[in-house]
Amino acid sequence: MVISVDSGSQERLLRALAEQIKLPLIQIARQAELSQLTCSDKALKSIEYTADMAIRLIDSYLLSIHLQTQASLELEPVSVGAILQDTAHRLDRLAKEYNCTLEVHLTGRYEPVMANRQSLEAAYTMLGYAFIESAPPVALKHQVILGAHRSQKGVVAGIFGTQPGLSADAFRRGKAIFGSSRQGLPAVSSASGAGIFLAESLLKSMETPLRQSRHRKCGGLAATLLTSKQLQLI
Amino acid sequence: MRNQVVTPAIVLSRIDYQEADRILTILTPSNGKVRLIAKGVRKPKSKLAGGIELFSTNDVTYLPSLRSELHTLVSSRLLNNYGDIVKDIQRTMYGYELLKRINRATEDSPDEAFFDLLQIGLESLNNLSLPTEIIELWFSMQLLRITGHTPNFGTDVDGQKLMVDSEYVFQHEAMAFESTADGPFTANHIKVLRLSVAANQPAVLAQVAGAGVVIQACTGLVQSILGNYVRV
Amino acid sequence: MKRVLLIEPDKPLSDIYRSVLVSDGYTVDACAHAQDAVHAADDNRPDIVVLELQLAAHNGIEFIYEFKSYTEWQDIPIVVHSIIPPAAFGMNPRMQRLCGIKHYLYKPATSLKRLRRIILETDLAALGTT
Repeated sequence: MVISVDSGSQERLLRALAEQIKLPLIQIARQAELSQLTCSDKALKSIEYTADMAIRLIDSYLLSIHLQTQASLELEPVSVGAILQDTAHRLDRLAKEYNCTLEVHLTGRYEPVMANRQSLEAAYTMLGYAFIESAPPVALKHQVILGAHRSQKGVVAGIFGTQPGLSADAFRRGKAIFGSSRQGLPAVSSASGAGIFLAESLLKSMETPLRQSRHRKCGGLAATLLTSKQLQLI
Repeated sequence: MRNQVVTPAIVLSRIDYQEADRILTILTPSNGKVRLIAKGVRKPKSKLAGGIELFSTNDVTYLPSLRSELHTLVSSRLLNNYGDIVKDIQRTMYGYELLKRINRATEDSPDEAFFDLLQIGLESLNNLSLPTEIIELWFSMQLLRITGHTPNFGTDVDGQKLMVDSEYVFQHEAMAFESTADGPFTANHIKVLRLSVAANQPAVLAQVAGAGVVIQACTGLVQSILGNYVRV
Repeated sequence: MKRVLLIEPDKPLSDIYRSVLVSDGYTVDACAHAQDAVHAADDNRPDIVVLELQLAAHNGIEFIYEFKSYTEWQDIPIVVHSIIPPAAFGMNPRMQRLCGIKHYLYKPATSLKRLRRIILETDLAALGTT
């Protein structure tokens, strides 16, 4: 059975990704040049994880295309806390580069959620990346929270930050214009927003759409994940 | 007591003046281009696009000066804010270009048509689903029309009706097409050009199948005519 | 000491540009947002502005428009250093002049060496006109 890919939306995602990839590539080029100028390897260290994030962007896009062609998605019980902790660890060095404080905040313990682990990890990494590289105005400290809390429908897990301007309306407009406009969420980020829309595509494949949400007085984007009926394994 | 003037207006430009004032150049439908001094609005450095918003239509009240052409702004009330323009950087750039072009085109007494044209231009630019290229072609052609420089899109330089299967080159001196083998302009170009004159808004052009293919060439032609005849 | 107002939303890039300009002897005020840049210019008048157009909240075109509306800042040269290619705007010398842009540099194609050279040339040209 052939599953057709929504080519229009994939093309927009590809364009947003292409714009987004320019940034880490420029960073790598200038870091390399700086390291030659200063004879210092500090810039070289930055190149490693800049390149890593660029590759993750591409891999997330490829994963999102792959998932669209699957007749069914493999779900398994996944610990939300573990996913968010792993994501924070993965983003830690990048956050330091951006002078951003990263925090994982989980209110209590949760049953495992039914999800595709690979998609969930990629989605939260992409979201985290997008939030970290969006600098808030000078008056606000740059903080990104990987947070989860319970709701009636399941576990709301997402990425939240101190950037102003991320409203439900802004996100809705962003979904309409990303890929065709250079900036998907101009109120929030100077970049194309590819990380956010990649995350949305990955979560959509699990039928858990991304929504504007709040956690500890910070606005952000989150998905409501359905819990597994299985017992949590410690 | 002098009568105050109340009018819709679009800000074309603004500049600071002395310690705390701003001078605004506005375009109005009935009074053409008017320069106003807005007193005490500039303290400290204003929020970007604060005060009378750029890319907006406002109801402006001003006190005419008896001695000079600089009148005093009394109040302003926002009628329409085209805030989506600044959500896209290319549209922002083009929006400012529209303001600059109208500002230059209206050096002498402008008529109401310039105000209407600018208003429709900004409204269209505010519609993020309408391609900028379509708006640019329509706006440029309307500027030609208002200034009395509409090219001849009905007959060629010899007075013959333009044919569907012919190719043409545009003769600037005659402001008309001339039939020639391998000419860059075809019936499709001419159709879009005619519609850009006749359409009362750019959204009409967007409905034309295949317009996207010929837009760039059409816009290039219109811009070159504008450059020759209208000082914008 | 000449002062550069650097408007660059990406922090790692901002740090890189800042460090090379400081090593060239400039004082650098680095901002990520257009509104912060207006306030920074108000606090300390820059001699040159280096501006990325693609910003969050308010874009670089809005900044230029606001910046150039202040008579005391009108002669401050602006060097655009942007991730947006100039062809995206139909940017040509006429447009640059209208917007008060001295140079338009496409970021992916502009090495640090070239950026420093352009800023130095702009600085010297401004000296020649004062």
